[in-house]
Amino acid sequence: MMYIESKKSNMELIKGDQIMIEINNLVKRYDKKLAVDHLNLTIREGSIFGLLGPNGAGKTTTIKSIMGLMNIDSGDIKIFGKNMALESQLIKKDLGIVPQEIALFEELSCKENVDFFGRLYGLRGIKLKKATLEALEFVGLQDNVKTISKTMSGGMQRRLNIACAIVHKPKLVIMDEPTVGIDPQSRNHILESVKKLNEQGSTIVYTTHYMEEVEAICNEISIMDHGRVIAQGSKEELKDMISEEQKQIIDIDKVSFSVLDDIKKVSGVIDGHLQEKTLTVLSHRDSENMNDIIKCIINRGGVINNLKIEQPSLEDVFLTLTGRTLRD
Amino acid sequence: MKTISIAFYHLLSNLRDRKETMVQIVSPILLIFILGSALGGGESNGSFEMSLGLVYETPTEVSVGLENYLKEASHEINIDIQRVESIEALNSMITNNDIDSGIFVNKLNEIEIISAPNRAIDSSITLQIVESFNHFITTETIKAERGIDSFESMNLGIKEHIIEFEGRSPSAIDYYAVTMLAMFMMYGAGYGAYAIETDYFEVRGERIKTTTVKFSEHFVGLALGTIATISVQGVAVVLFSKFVFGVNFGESLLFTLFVVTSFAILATGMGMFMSILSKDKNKGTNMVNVLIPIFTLISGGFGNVFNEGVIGAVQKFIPNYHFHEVLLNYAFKTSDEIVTTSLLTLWGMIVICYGGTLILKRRAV
Repeated sequence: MMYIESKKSNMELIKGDQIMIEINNLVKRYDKKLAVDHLNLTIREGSIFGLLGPNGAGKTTTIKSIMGLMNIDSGDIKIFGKNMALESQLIKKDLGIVPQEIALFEELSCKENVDFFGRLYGLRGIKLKKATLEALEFVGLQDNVKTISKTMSGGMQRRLNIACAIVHKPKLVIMDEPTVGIDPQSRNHILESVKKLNEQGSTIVYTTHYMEEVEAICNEISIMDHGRVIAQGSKEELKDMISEEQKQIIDIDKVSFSVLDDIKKVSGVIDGHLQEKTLTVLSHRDSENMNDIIKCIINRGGVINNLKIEQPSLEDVFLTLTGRTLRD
Repeated sequence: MKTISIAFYHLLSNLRDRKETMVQIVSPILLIFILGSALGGGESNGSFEMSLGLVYETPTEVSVGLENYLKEASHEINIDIQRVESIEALNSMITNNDIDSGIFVNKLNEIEIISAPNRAIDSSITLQIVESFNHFITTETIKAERGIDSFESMNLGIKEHIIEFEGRSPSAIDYYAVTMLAMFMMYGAGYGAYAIETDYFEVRGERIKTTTVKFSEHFVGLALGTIATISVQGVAVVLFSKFVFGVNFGESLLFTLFVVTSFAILATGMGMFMSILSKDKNKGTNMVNVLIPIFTLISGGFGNVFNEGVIGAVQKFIPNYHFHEVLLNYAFKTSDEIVTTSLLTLWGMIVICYGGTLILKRRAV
């Protein structure tokens, strides 16, 4: 099925370098708490943009501000080059939202739910009917047209949640953790749908806590913390930011936690931790300290079963930049 | 068109909630039947029969009160009440079709309806009876807190409280058809509160706000959908009461339906106002659930109350009171002036509720 027929290919759009969302100096406070702190963010047309951050980083506030659901204290948000405060109707007709929670009418069928949101975007008649069926087909619910929403599984409801957001074929789709709490099959289907939607021309803003999802689908990533963007770029660019480090993973037997004290004193070691029988050591990339680490383990009576050196993953980037401290 | 879409799908969603719809339509009909027949000598022809088993673990005010309530109801509506010794015996009787349905009250006064899967109607009727008992309990609590009459004297009070209209008086079933209709339509304010909570403040509402719908279309659509829901339920009760129980609603059914719709508009506005005032999920609905029995009690919906002094003055601010005044005075052709005044008062309340909602909404942004 050709979902958005008239749109340019993804590559053409990225080459076009047009800006979809431009946020300048956005500030939002909740009483005295500064939720978003002079945020600057640019999202290019045709990208799948991953917005990451620990709890309380300001992601949801930023997303709600983009959607026009929140009054901002200062700053400027432009979508498609237009100001949300002044031209919201023009912006919203090309905007699709997939909220984190399932926002459907439980008592209505799949078709009725999608039809409802299609009508709110101004679709009528044959165009609406066609768009409704296409959206349901896109998310794999074409055989559940008459199924009542509340009788469906969590995964099916999540897919219907997406269908309601794309019925009007928006240029920009904002997805706020669309795969929370669903089975792997539905999750995989949703991720494939996101890629397909993007291939057909929609720009996607995707927030999630699942790093593997970001690795799999996003071509541009921004990491937020304390209301600010602390890093932005492609996956490779972000990994390069911490590429001065390497992770040494060693499977060991018969060793106590005291080995960590010895290892942390080894030249080039930044950090280390032991979980069950796996010792993970973070070192500067060119430190060449593996022999010294092995000596420490052997001196403490440990037996090494396996060892490997890993380059950083996106999760390492995230944890390095935002810290390992638990957030509320 | 977007307004109509919101209203239509809101109505459809509300009416598809079968449990709530049944409660809103069947409960008033049953209460009208029970109160009208039991307290006013209505023409009960016993169109159905049912046997009901009752088990309670220990005699408490609730369990004994329920037993007395059921016994009283059984005189009028062909329900055979049987005290059963244990829950096991009750289950066995239901399984063997010795009785149609059962009620179990545990030590904590929690009430459970027990019935066979193929006895949905019996189960539904039992549920309605228990819910009507609940209404009495609520009323009794309020009355006790306010130092008004006890349960027993309340019944006497009801019997004595036949409104005199210059020689023409409504029978009990006429009276309770109006008061129970008012009470349940006012419970419909819960739909208004729910509409604002779910489809304005919560995630579904936020999603609607991200579409190209304007605030006016959104708000009016929600209000219309809720008004239509309460009106449909109210009209169903009116038609059933009129054509099955023979309740007198006056010459023009159209006028009655206009009053019912006006009251639905008011109930919706009140619900929305309470929800936007409380700014919290469920608080609006909870406020509705607390206020409605009080409104019904003070307005004389359950029976005789003092209509002088402070209570008489308070009554003038209660929507139910004006609803009773309009419909009863219209049906029994007693005072056009009261009909007009009370109808205008209802519309004044409508203006206040919707105006207040809009003002509070502006402040909330």
